[in-house]
Amino acid sequence: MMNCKECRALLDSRPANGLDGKLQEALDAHLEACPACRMASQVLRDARSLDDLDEVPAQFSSAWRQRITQEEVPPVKQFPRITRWLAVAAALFVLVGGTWMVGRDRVRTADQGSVPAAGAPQPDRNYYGSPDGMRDFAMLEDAPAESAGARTLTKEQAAEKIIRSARMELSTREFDKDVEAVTQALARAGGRVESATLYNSYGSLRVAYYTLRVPSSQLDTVITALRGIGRLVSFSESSEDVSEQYADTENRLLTQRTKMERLQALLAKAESVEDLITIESSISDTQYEIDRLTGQLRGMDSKVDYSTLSLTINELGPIETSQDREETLWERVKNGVKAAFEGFVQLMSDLVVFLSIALPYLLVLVLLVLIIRYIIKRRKNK
Amino acid sequence: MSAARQTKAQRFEQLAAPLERQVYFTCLHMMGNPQDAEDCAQEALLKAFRKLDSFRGDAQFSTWLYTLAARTCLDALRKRREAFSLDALAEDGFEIPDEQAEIFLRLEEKERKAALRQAISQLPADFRAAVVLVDLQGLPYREAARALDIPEGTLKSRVSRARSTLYKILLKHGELFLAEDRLSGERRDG
Repeated sequence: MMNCKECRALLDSRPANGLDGKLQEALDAHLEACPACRMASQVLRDARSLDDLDEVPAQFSSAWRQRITQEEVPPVKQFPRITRWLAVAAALFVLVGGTWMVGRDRVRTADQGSVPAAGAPQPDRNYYGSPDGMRDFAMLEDAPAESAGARTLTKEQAAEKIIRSARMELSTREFDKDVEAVTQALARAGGRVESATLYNSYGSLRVAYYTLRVPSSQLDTVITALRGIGRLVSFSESSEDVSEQYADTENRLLTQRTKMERLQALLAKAESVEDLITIESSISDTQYEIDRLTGQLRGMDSKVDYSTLSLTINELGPIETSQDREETLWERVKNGVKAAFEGFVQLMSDLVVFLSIALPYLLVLVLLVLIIRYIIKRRKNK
Repeated sequence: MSAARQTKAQRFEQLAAPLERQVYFTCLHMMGNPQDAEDCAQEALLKAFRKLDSFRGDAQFSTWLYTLAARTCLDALRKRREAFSLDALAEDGFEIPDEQAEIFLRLEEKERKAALRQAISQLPADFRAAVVLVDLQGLPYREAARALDIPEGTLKSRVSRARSTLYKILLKHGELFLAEDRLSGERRDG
């Protein structure tokens, strides 16, 4: 006869292929006799089939499938990789751009004086070299021949009136010596200094601004001479043909002079006081007009005879480069390292300046990004 | 589509779809209501999906899913402050009065099952987990112990005490008790 303990152990063992005949009989007999074990057996069987008649909610069935599909959709895994790179690129762009702009502003502040003045005559020929750039200015090579031709014309045909002006910017490491050289070249050509300004610029380097008047015939000689001084940074030249304007003014002057002669003849013949007054008044007006026109002609003559040369001389720092003289390998390495280090320091300081300018904006941006990420995360978790 | 070209989601669905029923009902009995059951079952499946790469196959996939489902439910219950200490069942085994047991056998199947569900939901969470995995889902003791991360002996003891408690609770439903008319000797599906 089976006891309760054996019965429960048997119920718990749940043999896969059912019980063999004898054991099953013994179990049945015990269950019939023992209500407690009968109940246990029933509960266990009910438990095993508890959910057999129930269905999994369709909503749940589709929901978890949808969730895992969403989890795997590229935006979750691949998109962030792209956005991460985009974000890095954008950040780099902002950093480099900002630093570059700060650097550019610094350079502009330093070189403010050397920026060509607004309203300068439209140059016919231009040259802008980088500060450490080319020394040769190919276009200047044919300049003497061209202006020699113009000069000949000026001599042969008095009617041909051409105003030439030029603008030059030089940089030099031997500021005093080169300023002296400019003065000497000017004196040799018979020119004069119309105005000169000198001031200390960024980093206590000096800048000199000259407005020089050079006899037109000597302009090319002076320009050639100045080319040998320091390094040419920029050059522009313009010429304006005022022949027609000059001829007009001359004609008007001739008319006024003829008028004056007639008025004077009339004055000599005048009989009444009234006539005298009228004629005197006319003479006065005519004389004024003659003076004005004569002044205009003289001004034009002066401009035609003496070209205007605007000259800027920038003093450069004492760093020597291979362009100043032949250097040894060691010096080149040393200068290279030094220049690189200074450039690096400059870049870093620009970066710091930019970051300090951009800091408030960056803070707001970071805050925004954090808030957006928080919201997205919360939605995702829901 | 070849296995290599299958996406991770497709692979996971193939593995999990046959088990979604068990996962759902495990959660249902653990949580006691369909809403929480759905949430927990979904979370368990999602966890399984996320960790699919770390599933090494040293256990059966089904056991692994049960593990995640049971733990997710236990965590949720803990959050609900429903999980209580093992002392709740400190009282060791008890005898069931015979006459009441007989009456229980008269319960119609549907009513019996409703009463059983109700009784299961009254068990402490840790015991409920043991009984749901072993008696409802039919997991061997060893696998159920693994799923709940407890020693096999502990699991057996929990199952045993949980059953006793179930009998005790079921006997309290006096109005459902009917006359004896059935035996439990029918062939049991292994």
